[in-house]
Amino acid sequence: MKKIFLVIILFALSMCDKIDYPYIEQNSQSADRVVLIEKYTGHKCSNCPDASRKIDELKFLYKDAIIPIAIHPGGLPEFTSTDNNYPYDFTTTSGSQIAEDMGASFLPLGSVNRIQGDFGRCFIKDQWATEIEKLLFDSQGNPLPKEIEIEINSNLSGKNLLIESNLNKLADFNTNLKYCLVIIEDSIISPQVDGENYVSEYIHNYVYRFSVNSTYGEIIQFNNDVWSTSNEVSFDTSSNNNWDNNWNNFDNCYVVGYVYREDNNVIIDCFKKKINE
Amino acid sequence: MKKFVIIILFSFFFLTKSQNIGNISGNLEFNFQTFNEDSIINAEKRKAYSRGYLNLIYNYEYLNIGTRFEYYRNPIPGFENFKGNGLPYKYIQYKNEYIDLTFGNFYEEFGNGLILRTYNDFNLGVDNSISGIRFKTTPVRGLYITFLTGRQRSFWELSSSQIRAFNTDISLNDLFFKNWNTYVNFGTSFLTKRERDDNPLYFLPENVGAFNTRLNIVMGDYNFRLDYANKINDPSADNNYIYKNGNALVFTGNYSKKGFGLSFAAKRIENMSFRSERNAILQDLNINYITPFNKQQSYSLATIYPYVSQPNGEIGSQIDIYYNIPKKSRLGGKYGTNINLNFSNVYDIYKKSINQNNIYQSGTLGYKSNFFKSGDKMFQELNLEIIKKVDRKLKLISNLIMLYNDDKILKSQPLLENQNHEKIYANIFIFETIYKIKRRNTLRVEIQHLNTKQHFKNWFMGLVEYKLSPNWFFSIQDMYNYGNPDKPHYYSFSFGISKNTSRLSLTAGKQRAGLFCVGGVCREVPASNGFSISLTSSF
Repeated sequence: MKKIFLVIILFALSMCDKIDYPYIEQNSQSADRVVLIEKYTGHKCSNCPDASRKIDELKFLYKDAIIPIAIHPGGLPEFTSTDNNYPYDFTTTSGSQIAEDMGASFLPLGSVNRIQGDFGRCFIKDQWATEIEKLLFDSQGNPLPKEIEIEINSNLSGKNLLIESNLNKLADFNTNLKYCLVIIEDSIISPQVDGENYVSEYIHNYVYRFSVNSTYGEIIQFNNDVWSTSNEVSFDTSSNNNWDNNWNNFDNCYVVGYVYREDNNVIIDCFKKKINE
Repeated sequence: MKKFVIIILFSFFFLTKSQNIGNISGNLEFNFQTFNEDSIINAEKRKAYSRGYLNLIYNYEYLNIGTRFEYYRNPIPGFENFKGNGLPYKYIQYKNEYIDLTFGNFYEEFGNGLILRTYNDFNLGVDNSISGIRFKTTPVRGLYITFLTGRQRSFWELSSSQIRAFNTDISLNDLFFKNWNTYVNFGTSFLTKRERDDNPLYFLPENVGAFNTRLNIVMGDYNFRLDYANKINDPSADNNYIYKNGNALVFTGNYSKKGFGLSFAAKRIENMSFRSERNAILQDLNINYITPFNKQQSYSLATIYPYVSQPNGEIGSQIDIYYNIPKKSRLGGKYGTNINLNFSNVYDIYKKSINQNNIYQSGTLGYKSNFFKSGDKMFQELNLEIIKKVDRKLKLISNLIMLYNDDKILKSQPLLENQNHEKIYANIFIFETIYKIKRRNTLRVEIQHLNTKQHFKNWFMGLVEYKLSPNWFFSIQDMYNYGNPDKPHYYSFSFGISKNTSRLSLTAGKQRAGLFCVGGVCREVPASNGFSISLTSSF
């Protein structure tokens, strides 16, 4: 009997993996593709800053191979509504529509290239890394080749932005592709609950502000595998309620362009550029 | 496969009926509910929700074969992943005096469940059964050994991780000290889960082990139990991927004699959330269970602010005193009076960050905790219940409940627009009268009042139930949230009939949004306005 118990104890000890520092992977090889993470968040969502910190960890690992966008869904007012403590309205009509369509029924959640997730097309933050890895690399760890190239040039004149997009198809697709342009904004200082703490000067980054060519973009008409389009944005309240006459945060605004398949809505690639660069 | 199992079971059924080789037993439940829109209580219009299950067990001498058919149509939020139907539970078991061998699904609990408890609660939407092999043996009287391996149920699928575990329970009296008046039982368990590391961001343990040991001593009217568990680094969505070890210590003590009972319980839980998959959330794939040390409330208003167990960290205690004032004494009256006093509280554990990081900074050890220090108070409740039988026809029950619920930490309550989670202080008074009008005819009346300056503010509740024993009952009730700006009424009418082992009930009316809890495990339920049918039966 003693021998049996000894075997059991040895078996048990061999069934425990003790991990020593460091716990976080420091390096990832460079990727060819770029993945879009739409993070659904809210200023009254106490766990949402954890999701932002997860994005920071992912940015540290994947560098420019991921582009995050923070969407505040108006359909979840318990997390995104305004009041005296949370006066800033981050919600947008198109952002709320996307959040609802992707199945963001609680926060925080995130879509990763809008692939099918555990909650509609959403995953909890701890699943993002695994999904990103699968979208960037094959099972052997080799970078998956780019299927479409996006180039964006922009010209800011006063409060008007002219965006020129040039797309180059590098693979064959058996479906229409669509192209969507959005404006995101960094460094918006406004209250946020973080765990049990109320942070009055929280820095909100990569906030979804405006969909340039409608909520879900336009169909791409390739000609010899290339396509170009131009769009304009006015940085005023017609585009976003917060862009009033006092607003002057151009240095922290970016244009993000992404291409997705019309048949399954999965994003193929994306590109981000500062608007005044 | 499903058809095959059903055909086999029905074949057995007819075979056993006709030739008397073994017997078939089982039970079933069916629920149907409609949902109408009601803007006052924020109830949405939904498609009618129906669900049901049928358990069938065939027994022949040492052999048991069982299965459960489940069915969910238009499930309500929180149950979406159950949509569909199938046979998620099926097993073959051979069991005699010395051996118990099961292939297929089974439920198991080691000790108090600190490292393993699988169970099924149909209403809560919890079924974390294990599909695999379990071997139990009793080589000598007083020594009980269990080995098991398998994967847990996750809705209609199985988890991606494998569980392996063993447990021993030893009765020292049966083994060695047969003449002792003190009974001593000792138990120890070990469980490991194996889950592939597919997360490129972290170096994750693929084998996570947990250990549990416990001691139970019964001396005359006294009963003491000590339970300790430890778990190695288990970064998960629950603890935001920190690498800290977990531990749990639970103590319970009871004393009872005729007319008097005293029990005391205390626990300290630190980082003990334990699931089959690291990214599982809500009620999915829990391996262990944290015993709640709070009174399990059943009165409507007393269930509004329940305590939700916090496996990431809590320190709690409970004292329960029961006293029966003897019959024919001045205070006890002709039939005696029962008094039950219950007090419980739960604090967060003390947490100190390491290297100025956030306490739950992922990819770190998280925090340090002083075993003897506590953090913020999360919950406290005082219950005083007096039960008085006045005469052969009349029985009175009164309850006073004073509670504190820190919803800023627990964040478990639904909110009105522009409302934030807050610390809730509430006093609840309940008065129940049971009057036997004549033989088999009983009238029960409940009056409840909840007083609070926070959250949805004051509530009043009234219920009248008429029971024509043993088969019929009819009730009407209203919960009136008169402190709420919208002053919603949640009225309902119920009618029920039971015969032998079957019960059918019909209810029409409104249900508030909130938490439905069983044993500290809770699920959010949406507000509803409609009617429901419930049927249960066993055979």
